[in-house]
Amino acid sequence: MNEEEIAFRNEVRQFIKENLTAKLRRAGTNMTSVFADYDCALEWHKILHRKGWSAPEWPEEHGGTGWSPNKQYIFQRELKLANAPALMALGIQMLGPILMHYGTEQQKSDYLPRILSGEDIWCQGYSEPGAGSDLASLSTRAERDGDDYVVNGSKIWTSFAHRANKIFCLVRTATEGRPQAGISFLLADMNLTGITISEITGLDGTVEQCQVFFNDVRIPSANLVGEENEGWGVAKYLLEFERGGHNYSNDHQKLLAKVRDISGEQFSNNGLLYKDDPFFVSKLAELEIDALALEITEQRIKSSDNPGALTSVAKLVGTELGQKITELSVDALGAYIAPLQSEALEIDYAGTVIGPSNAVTTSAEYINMRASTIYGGSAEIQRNIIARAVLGLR
Amino acid sequence: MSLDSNQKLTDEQQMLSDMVSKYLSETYDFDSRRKIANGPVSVAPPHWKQFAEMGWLAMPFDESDGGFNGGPKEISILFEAFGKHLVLEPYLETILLGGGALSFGPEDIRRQYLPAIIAGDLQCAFAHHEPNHTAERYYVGTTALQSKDSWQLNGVKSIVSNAPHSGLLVLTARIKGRKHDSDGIGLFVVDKNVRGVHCDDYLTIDGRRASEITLNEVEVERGALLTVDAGQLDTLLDRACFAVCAEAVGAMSALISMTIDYCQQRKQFGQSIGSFQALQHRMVDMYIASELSHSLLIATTNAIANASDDRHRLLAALKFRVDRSAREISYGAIQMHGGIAMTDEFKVGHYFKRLTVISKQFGNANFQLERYRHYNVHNNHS
Ligand SMILES: Cc1cc2nc3c(=O)[nH]c(=O)nc-3n(C[C@H](O)[C@H](O)[C@H](O)COP(=O)(O)OP(=O)(O)OC[C@H]3O[C@@H](n4cnc5c(N)ncnc54)[C@H](O)[C@@H]3O)c2cc1C
Repeated sequence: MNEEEIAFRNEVRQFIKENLTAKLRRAGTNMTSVFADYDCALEWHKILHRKGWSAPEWPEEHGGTGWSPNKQYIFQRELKLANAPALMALGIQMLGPILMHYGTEQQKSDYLPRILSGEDIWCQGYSEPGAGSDLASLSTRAERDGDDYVVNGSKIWTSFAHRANKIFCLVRTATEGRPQAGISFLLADMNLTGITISEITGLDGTVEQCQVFFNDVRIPSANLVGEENEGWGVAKYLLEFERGGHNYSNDHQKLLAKVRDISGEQFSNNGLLYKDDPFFVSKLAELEIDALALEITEQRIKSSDNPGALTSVAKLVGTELGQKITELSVDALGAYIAPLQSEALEIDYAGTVIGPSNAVTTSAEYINMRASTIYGGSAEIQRNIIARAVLGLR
Repeated sequence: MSLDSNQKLTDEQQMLSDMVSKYLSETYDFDSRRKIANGPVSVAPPHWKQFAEMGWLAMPFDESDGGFNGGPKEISILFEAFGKHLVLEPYLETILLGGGALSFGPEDIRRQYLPAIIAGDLQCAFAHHEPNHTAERYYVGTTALQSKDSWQLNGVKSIVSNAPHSGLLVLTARIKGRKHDSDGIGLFVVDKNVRGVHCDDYLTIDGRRASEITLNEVEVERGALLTVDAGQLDTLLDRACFAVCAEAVGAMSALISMTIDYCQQRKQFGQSIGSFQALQHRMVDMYIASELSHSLLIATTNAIANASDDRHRLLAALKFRVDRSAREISYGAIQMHGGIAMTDEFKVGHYFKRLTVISKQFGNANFQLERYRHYNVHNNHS
């Protein structure tokens, strides 16, 4: 870090100190998936927005900061280590860049400021019961009728559809040719007539995903992003952001810190605290080395004009390493994996917690972390991409 | 080590196996189980009385105590089936641990409690682990002080499975020595409703119920001490360890068949996902992991049945291998099912949660490694 960056880091720290309330910090601490408590995420979004920091990576003309990649990295890390709650990311990280690239002037001026301010929260309607990894086989139909598209079908695993007010989705507008050729990208209000939601309870007992049903939903054709039948290209552009936009090494630092905390409270089978147990400590060091290697890889991605392949590597290593770190946490947690303490994750919970201080989040996090190699392009699909596109194996 | 001769089930064992599979396949549907698992805490799994009527609860007890003298083979038949069907009923806690400990007691105690246990009218919990020390086998900070004709118990017990539905607690308390010593630990039977026992009840991720228990000047009579023999405590814990290994083997084989079925049915890119070689290889590895555990289960069952010197080493190997295999198989099963595996409505994740809990019970992987090395050296020298 050069002097300017150190000054910048101090500025960020000062801002955090003044603005990240205990409640918001708690929302960050209690995260057990990529999502934080929804209301706290919105509150923090608005605070960041007032400072002009809600979408630092956006270009300045759209309300971003113009920070160097290093500064963005520092910013993200400081937030993460201070346990700031994650923002609802889909608008900022995915739809924003898409609209800047493909949107009409009207769409940009309608939507971008509202993403920036947190007035609109977007969910992503891609996956369907029959179309997961093979997204191009999606079958939710959109038929042109005057100035509207009439949409029928259903989307599944839509994260936070029960809270978001907007959805961007992929729909089928043509059935001829390659499956990819007949897909369009549409924006919709969640409160349109004909949209219904059924909540899906996750393995940890909470609701984050939903199934969204479209029954003769009329979406104005002005909500089409890009050309009709060219939504696949739009989505692929977006998927690169989903994979490349995230710094896993920040998450890993937080997860590793948690392992260290637990290992200072829990005793190993040999009667030593885990942190003094040579076997455990060397396992931890192995994971730290992987985390270090990934951190440097992420820096390579940021400083490269054409990161391409490395973003798939980062997603793959980032998620699988996250799983290994929580697995080690759970090894130290031992039998305290068992108590189900969902209520202790609520923001205003004031009761006691069973087990070491991090038991509550670690147990749910370990379970939820299995999803990270499924969503956003499964580990298998990532490997297929690397094999084909990078290694040239066909 | 010859296996073939010992692998065959006797007629009685075959009957037991058929009966258990039939009963559980017909009655133990996943949705009803899920409703129980999700709470509230006060609701108990409903099949306990039927288990009693079918004679399963009597299985491991001595004939003189009203039991059927069942050995490790019978236990593994029951527990493999429990694992396959994700059974929530507290056989481990009430019969193997609670009932097992009571069997060490004097005759009047056995007469007092065992008939009600075998009849399914009385449930038990085994309160051994203490806060932050759950990975240690002998850590007992709870104290037992003797006065004229009673004991006074003081301490804290953590994650006591089935305590919310138990009338009896069997608990460990230290009579002498330091907190980590294997000697000087007494096994006591305590009526859960006596003064000074305080329970905080909760659900666990594998659909069971457990409590944090505080013992504050709990007075019990002299006869409440069942044994102070460290060997008997080991026998009890080893038997429980063995049973959860059999349960895990059942759960793993269920996960593998579910995954194979799913991969054959689920189509992406115009073909069944089971046709992708990456998934085929992963399923093969899961199958191998399961068979390795199964082999060790068979060998351990025989070694225990024959009271072979090698039984401790084999049990450590088995539990270690089960931990490894359980991780590999649950992770693989979830991954290959995709999004649906992450939902409460779908079975796969519940097997994962149960297997995760089992991995940490009755000796984690490191404990088993150390034990294995200990007995390995021991065996090589003899
Ligand atoms: C927590 C969570 C949040 C999510 N949030 C959203 C969201 O907000 N919006 C949204 O649209 N979707 C979301 N998803 C859906 C996610 O994108 C899909 O689950 C994912 O695309 C996988 O699809 P699937 O679940 O149908 O699994 P499938 O595609 O059926 O895959 C099953 C298995 O087969 C493997 N497989 C498939 N094809 C191949 C192949 N060619 N070679 C080798 N292996 C293969 C997969 O890797 C996987 O292991 C979310 C999912 C989860 C779990």
